[in-house]
Amino acid sequence: MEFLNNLFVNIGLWFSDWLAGFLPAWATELVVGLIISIILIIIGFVAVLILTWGERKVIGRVQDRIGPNRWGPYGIFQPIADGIKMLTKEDIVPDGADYWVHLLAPIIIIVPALLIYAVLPFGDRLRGADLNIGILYIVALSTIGTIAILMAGWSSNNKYALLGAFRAVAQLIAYEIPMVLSIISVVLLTGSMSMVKIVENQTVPYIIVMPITFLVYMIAAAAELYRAPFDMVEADSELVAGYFTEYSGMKFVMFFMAEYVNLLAMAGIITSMFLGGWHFFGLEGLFPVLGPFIFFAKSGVVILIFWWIRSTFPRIRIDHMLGLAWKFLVPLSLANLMLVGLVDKLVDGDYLTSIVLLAVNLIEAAIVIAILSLAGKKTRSKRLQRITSRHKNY
Amino acid sequence: MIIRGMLKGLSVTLKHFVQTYMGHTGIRDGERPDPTLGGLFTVQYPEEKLPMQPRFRGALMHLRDAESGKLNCTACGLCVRACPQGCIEVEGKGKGKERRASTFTYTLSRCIFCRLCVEACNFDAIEMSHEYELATYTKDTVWDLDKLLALGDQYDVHESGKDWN
Repeated sequence: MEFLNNLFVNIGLWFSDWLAGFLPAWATELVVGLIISIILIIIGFVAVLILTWGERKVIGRVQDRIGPNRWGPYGIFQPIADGIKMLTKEDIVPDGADYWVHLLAPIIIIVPALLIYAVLPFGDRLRGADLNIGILYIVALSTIGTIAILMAGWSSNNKYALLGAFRAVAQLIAYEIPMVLSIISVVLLTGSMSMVKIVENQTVPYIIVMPITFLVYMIAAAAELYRAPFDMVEADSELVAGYFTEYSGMKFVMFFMAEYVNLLAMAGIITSMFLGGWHFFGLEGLFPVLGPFIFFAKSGVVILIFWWIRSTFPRIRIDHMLGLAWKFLVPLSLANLMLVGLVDKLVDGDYLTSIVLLAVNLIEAAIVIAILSLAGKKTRSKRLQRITSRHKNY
Repeated sequence: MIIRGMLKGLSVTLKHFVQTYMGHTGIRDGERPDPTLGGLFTVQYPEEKLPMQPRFRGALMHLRDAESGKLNCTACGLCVRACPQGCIEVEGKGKGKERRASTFTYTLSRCIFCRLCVEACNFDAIEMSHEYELATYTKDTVWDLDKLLALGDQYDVHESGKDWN
């Protein structure tokens, strides 16, 4: 029973003990590390299979369709069929392309996406590594993907691909700032950058404590993932397919997989930072084995919200998108950071801080909504004036 | 206001998502979907086929008399004359009221489904069926009397020109 209670950790400990019996210490560490990384990569790729199918199913349902339903019950083998189709496609390098950059871009985009999994805490003592700068590591990694996108766009020798890549860089630079600022709010409150510490120090999930920070982070995350309504990078209706227009076959699949690996990684980060990670009302204390299941269930809910948002909102214009980041999210997250710092310094006690923070956040939200509606009224009256004055001239 | 509009949109998509589990949820047994009910409207074509409209013009079929079970066609040749494509050939046997068609060939690949042959027929002998899956792998598209009669038996129709189902 004791063994089953924390099954995954105990299997790992038993295995490393068994290896230590006949291998030197460094070799044991190496083998265990390799196995853990392989497991993490498998998690990433299985996530790609499930998420591609799930996204098509959910968005189909929203649009009163059924979604893939041809192969297997409920079409669950659809991603395998897609994979086989993609594997058999010709690998084309366009004329005038920068060959090596074109070749490297799909590899560079998927590696950092998979590397994020190393610091995600899936459960109690269940993680790739407990870096003391885990969240900084994630922020650093998520910028590498942009370089790959720029490489792909530049090397393709295609205007549309290059335009998509430019947009990607503009978008990432804009949305990195509110994202990092809301991460700092979380780090300020927990007092640690380690993902494990962030989860363990959350007595109350931060989505309740800091709803504004959570919303800012969600919006920034959607933009970082290049998901609708911020999918300016792909913008199928304007840019063919954006930066991966000139990719085919397995290289295209790499970009596709990176998107979904990133989606689960981002959902995992949100789960760890705002939803309390593997904690669920003390259930994880009774049955530690449920930790990873709770974690993935919460991530699934976050992903469902992303899909829901994607299927609801139309793509916004690029100037509006950058305006949203620079004029709205950056000031909001800065103000929020300041308030979180103040409350954290002035108020003592775990639950008291939570309650005061929640109250402060709600007041903040009310002020933001008031300012927004005022600004909206102003623009509307201006537009009305413009229209009426135009009509006078006729 | 911005936020209220966004929430409204989200609620609409959520409503449609939930309706796919509450309203029409899958294969309906050959009935047209009720648009007020919401849910899945996709017709799962090979598994599920919608009933055709009563006047749908599919492949030709031969009708039998309801009581005697004998075929109605008297080989008068009106349909042959009416056909703009010349896809019908008919030969008769017998004299007077006993005269019936002995051979009747209908070249499906030439037929334009105009229903002029049915309009011309004085004996309720032929009618357009609701058969629309007419693609073949071979060029064997000449249908003889047996096949046309079998199709008519399948639909169980004895009068042409009626809006039948």
